[in-house]
Amino acid sequence: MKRITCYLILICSFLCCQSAAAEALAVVAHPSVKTEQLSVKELKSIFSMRLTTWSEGALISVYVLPKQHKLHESFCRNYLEIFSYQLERSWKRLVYSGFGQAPTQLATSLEIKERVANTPGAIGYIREEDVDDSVKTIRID
Amino acid sequence: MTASKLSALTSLLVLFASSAVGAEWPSSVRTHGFFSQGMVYTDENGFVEDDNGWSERQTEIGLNASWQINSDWRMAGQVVYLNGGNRYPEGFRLDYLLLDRLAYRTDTDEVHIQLGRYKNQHGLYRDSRDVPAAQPSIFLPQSVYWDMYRDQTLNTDGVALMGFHQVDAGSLEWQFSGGATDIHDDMEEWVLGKNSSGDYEEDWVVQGSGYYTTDNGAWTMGLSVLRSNLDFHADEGSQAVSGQAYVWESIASIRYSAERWETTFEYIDDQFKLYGLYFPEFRDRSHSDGYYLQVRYFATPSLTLLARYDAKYLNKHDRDGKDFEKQTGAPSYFMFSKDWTLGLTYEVAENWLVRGEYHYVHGAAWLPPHLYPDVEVHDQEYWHLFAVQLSYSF
Repeated sequence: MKRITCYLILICSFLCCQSAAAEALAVVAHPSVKTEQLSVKELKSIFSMRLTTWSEGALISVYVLPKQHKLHESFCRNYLEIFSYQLERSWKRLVYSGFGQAPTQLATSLEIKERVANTPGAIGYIREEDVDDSVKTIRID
Repeated sequence: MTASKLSALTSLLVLFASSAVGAEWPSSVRTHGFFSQGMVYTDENGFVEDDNGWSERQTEIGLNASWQINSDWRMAGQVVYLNGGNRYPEGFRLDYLLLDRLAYRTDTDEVHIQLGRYKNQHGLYRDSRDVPAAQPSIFLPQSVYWDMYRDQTLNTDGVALMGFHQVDAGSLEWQFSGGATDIHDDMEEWVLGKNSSGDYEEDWVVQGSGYYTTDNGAWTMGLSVLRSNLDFHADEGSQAVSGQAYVWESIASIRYSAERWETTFEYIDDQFKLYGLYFPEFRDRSHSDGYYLQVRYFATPSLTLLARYDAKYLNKHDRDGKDFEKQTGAPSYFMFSKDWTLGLTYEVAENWLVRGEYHYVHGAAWLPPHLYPDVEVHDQEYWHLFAVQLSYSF
């Protein structure tokens, strides 16, 4: 019994470490974007492709990782506070009904950083450790 | 040339005129598409094929493009090829072709004007109804998404206003639109019977809808109302004579989404006034309704299970069809369809879906033609339907 408890504690601590080790991420935009911070609601409206322009009038280009990517899952859950299937459902609806467009999907955090750095009006999320001067970090509250 | 084709052409012209605005070609053009092939088996009643058994007449192909000309203007279009057996006329259709103008914006709102052929936001699944990846099952619940009236309510040639607003504790999207729908040339056979021929057209349609979603995305609820006038000019020798149908259609929707499952309920109320059609002096009002309750369970990231009950009544004051049987001599089961569905969707590879579903159906209200029930082909009150489908979307 004692041994089982030991194992349980081990497994639990392993799981806790896993979640604590979930990679920190940052929401980044092209340096020309004037917006400094976004609310969760605004972020959700932008990533669900329903708000399509920045305050200054420039078109927003949205970049995301594949739905299987851990960072995407954690972005949906912790930043947008919705499930990734809900986001995907609304993109599909926009794309096939002519109501709007879907975000551009790229394979890695570094690719997103590069594309955001080179596309005026771009926004995306990347690993915190990938952030450098080429992109602007957007505060989320 | 019909008004619809004119408006499509107008959108094209406006597009080329506005290309002078200076677009970033071609990175601002996005293309998407889908393909599906199904196999359908019915033991009775000739769904998809008049003779029962297996049928491969279940194909959906679509290709679309969306061109973001600048931050205010966008052009989009989609062409589809559909083969649904005897569910609706087979062939190519211009699904939408529109010019979208961002008409009003603040930091929390956007309103767009769409001109050309646009899709109606009429129920949760209608605007993407032929796209397997955007649908819960191979066949949509026929109470709300009846194949026979697919063309009348799916897309419209005219003008639509579409809004999105962040509101307290959620977001609201709405659409108001008006125009006329380009109904497929052969559709009168489906609605009025194989011995009817003539021009079956929609004179005009206006539609309004609103959908509210809570901040956590858990609840979506909405209402859509549509009013249209349909007109039939009979050819000489046609079984159905010239006439009109005035339609009021409302759909109430509610959906709850959790991490592992989702449940959807939609109710439709349809009121018709019929003039002529059976004989020149014929006048009638009818009031039909229906609803479905659907549960989807996301068993694994790639496997989704579905269970649904769907009920359709052609006359809500004669739900069991007994009055209809007394008046016409045709069996009462033509006045309703009750469908129990079990289904599964498996994502075998990225963007590839395999679907299977089983329907146990009581009644024949779905089955065409609508005006003159085909008692010879649809001779069973209880019947079974089994379908499998492979689809790809990008």
